[in-house]
Amino acid sequence: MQPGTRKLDVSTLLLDPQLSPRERAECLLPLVYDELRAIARVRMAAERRDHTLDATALVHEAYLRLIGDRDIPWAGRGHFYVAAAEAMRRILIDHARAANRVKRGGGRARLSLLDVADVSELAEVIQEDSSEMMRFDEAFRRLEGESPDAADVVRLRLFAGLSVQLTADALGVSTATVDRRWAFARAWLYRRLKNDG
Amino acid sequence: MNKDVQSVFEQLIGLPIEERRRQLDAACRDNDALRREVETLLAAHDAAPAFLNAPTASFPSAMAVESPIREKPGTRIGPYKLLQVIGEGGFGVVFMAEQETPVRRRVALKIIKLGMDTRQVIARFEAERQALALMDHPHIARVFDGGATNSPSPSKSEGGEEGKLSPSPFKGEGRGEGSGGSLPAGRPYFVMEYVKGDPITQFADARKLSIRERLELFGQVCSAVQHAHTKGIIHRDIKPRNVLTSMVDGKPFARVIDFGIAKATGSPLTDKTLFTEHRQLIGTPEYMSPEQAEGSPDIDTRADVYALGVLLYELLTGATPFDAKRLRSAAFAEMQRIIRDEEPLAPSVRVTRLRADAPLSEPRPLGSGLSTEPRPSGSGLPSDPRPDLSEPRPLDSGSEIHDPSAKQPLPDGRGSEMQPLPHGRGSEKQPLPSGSRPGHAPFSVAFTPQGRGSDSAATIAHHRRTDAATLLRTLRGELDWIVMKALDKDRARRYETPNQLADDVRRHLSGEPIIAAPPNAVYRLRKFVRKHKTGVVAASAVAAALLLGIAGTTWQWRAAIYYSNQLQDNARVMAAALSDTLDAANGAATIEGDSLLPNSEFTRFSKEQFKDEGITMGRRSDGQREFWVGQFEWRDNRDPNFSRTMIVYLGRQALTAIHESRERAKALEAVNTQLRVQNDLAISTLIDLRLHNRTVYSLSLVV
Repeated sequence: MQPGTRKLDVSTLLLDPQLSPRERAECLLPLVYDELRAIARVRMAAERRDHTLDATALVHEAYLRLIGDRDIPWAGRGHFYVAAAEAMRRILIDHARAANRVKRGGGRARLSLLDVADVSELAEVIQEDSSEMMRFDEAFRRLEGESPDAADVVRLRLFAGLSVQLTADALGVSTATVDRRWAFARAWLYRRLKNDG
Repeated sequence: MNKDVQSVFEQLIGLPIEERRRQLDAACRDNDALRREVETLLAAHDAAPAFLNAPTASFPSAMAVESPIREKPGTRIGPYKLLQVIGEGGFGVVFMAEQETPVRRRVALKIIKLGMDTRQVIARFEAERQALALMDHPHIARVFDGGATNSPSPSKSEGGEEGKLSPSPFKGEGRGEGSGGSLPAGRPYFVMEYVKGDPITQFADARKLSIRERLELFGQVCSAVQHAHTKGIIHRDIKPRNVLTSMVDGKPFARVIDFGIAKATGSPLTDKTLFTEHRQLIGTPEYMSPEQAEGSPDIDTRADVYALGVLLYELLTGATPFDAKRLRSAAFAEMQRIIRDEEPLAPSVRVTRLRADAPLSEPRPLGSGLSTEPRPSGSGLPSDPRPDLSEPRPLDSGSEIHDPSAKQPLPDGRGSEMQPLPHGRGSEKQPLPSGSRPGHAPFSVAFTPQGRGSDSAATIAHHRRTDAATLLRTLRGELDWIVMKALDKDRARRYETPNQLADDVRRHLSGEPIIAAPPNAVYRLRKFVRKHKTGVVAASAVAAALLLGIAGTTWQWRAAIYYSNQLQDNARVMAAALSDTLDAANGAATIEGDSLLPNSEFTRFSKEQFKDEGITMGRRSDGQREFWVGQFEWRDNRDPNFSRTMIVYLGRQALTAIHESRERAKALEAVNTQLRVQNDLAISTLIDLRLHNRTVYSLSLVV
């Protein structure tokens, strides 16, 4: 890795008008993923064992490390968050695979997937039973198959922790649309998780 | 069809229950499957109000980073009227402001732009305020006030959730709104004495201060930091941009700004819920002590001593101990590792490594240099050189250097690059590595590539009114040791106080003996051996085997010629350095009554050799020794294979030497005059081997 070049790459990528959103996401994802994983690793090592991954904080930290305070228009930053959200989702999956921890015996988990309110609670559930991440991810991917739009909203809101407003900005839709898609996605995921479990 | 499910669902979700039913009937008249789908989804929606309902709860206002500061010149904040922007960065905006009551004066007002918990920042500031008020030192810029702006928090205006400045992980968006109301409305701001001046390193280069002048100026900084420490204030973010320097009565005069700000805006790491906990770790990495980089909550005055060491390093060599570019491009963990583990080059070694071919360049004229920079995030706040401002204090006699538009000769014609303010990301061209990253809040990181490292030794020396060779001689030895002591990874081994550091600098200037000593050889060897246990043992075994062979052919290789003076010198110096080390180790062991290094036959033999040849081992010049040990460690840190390669190399060198000796002995037996040289080779080879052998013994001591 060339020192100094990576930073440049990210902002160049974000600002390059030639790239289609898809190409942009393809180029961005590995960069963001690496950075996020590096940060996450330090966090996990530094924190206590019961640490819950503060995914949104990580995403934001990655944003600042990769982009800093450069003046990138929102459209460009939106692309970053889309990539970061996807990277974070994959990290959680990696994490769950690595943990490979399945809860045995009768003790009820403090939380089930159906109680999860945010990504750190999701991480908590995964911490106790890593197979839950697979279950969640399966549901997520099915949702993506049904409605990619709704899946995008889940990505940004859940895995990148963006607000309704910022999600709307990143996707270029109204906040009302985000609200509606979000409601749909929540209901859809909930139904799925409830029925398959 | 699924699209239909979604659209029907979305159409219904906002409606009251009865309305839903009616619309559902209308939407799927005879489509039972669709109806079932939508109904189960609606049921799921209603059954799970808590499911994923607060995805951004743990995301306190971080997005405030994105929003611009709304305050403008003319805005009034409390008793302050904003006059103009004098600095800006990711961290915040610094205004020059006028205070009207109770006294009329110019101040610098810094508004923190980052998404921080205003309430906490202000609470921390208040806690430190008493101590800040007690500081009274000519080289410290005072901090007068802190508070919250009245403008609505940007995060709130962006939608309900961001309004949750509080770190506590709210569940449920509604609650977030509620507590949002109790928070201070705006952003934190700080009011400071308005100081004119340039970052100290930039000033020193522009004024071409000599090493002596730089050291004297540095003494002012130390005394300021010392004063703060005695009042119980740790700066935590000392860097050139926070040490503004101007000419006062014809003499350079430094003032340290931003005391208390880093602490107020940083958050205690113990507070796990705070998002800023993560940011705390990234400050200004070049000036960050290892304990700060680790994110240790236990930061004391010695972190400032470390930063002072970095500042001194930069004043002397024109570069920071770790390359800013490298640190900033490194991934997070790598950055921590570098700061924590890598030994920086000693200043004298550093200047020898500067590019030799770079053209001599003039320092950038002060005024223009500053204005081409993105105003670095307030850290360099009152450094504004704007000409049309009335002098806030009589102290500022150096106004001519602040005035970029005034007829200052711009040797390189770069004055034209001058830009009004920030968006010019001109800092790539900026020769200073310092402070381009705002320091208090890691979030303000401006990943600015640094150009300083590419200055040639000649340029660096030129800025110090000397030549490269003299500069090297000046730095070598005492100044190296002083800097390296301040920069020790282990804070217990640093100077205890800024005063001690300043005293040693003063003693150096007046020719008195200094406290700092060459890095302790035993300590460093210990570290080395520990790190490369296997290699050292292996090398020693090889060495032992070689020795047996050598014994038989001693007479022969004594008559050999050394093929390269360079190699010979290197070997000797390195041998000497290692020999010192081992002598020290041996000495220590003996003192402990635990001598594991018997005065063997072999040792006696080599001593005889040295005596005959008039070589006093272990009495190499400090410079040479430093250089080689530095080389060794430098390489070792960068290249995991280095020590292995080195050990193999030494072994091979010994073999080559023996081999060559034999060859040449046959041809040149008669050349008596060269015997001395040959002997040197023999001895250095021998010493290398001896040292490796002894290292085996040392192992049992230290491991």
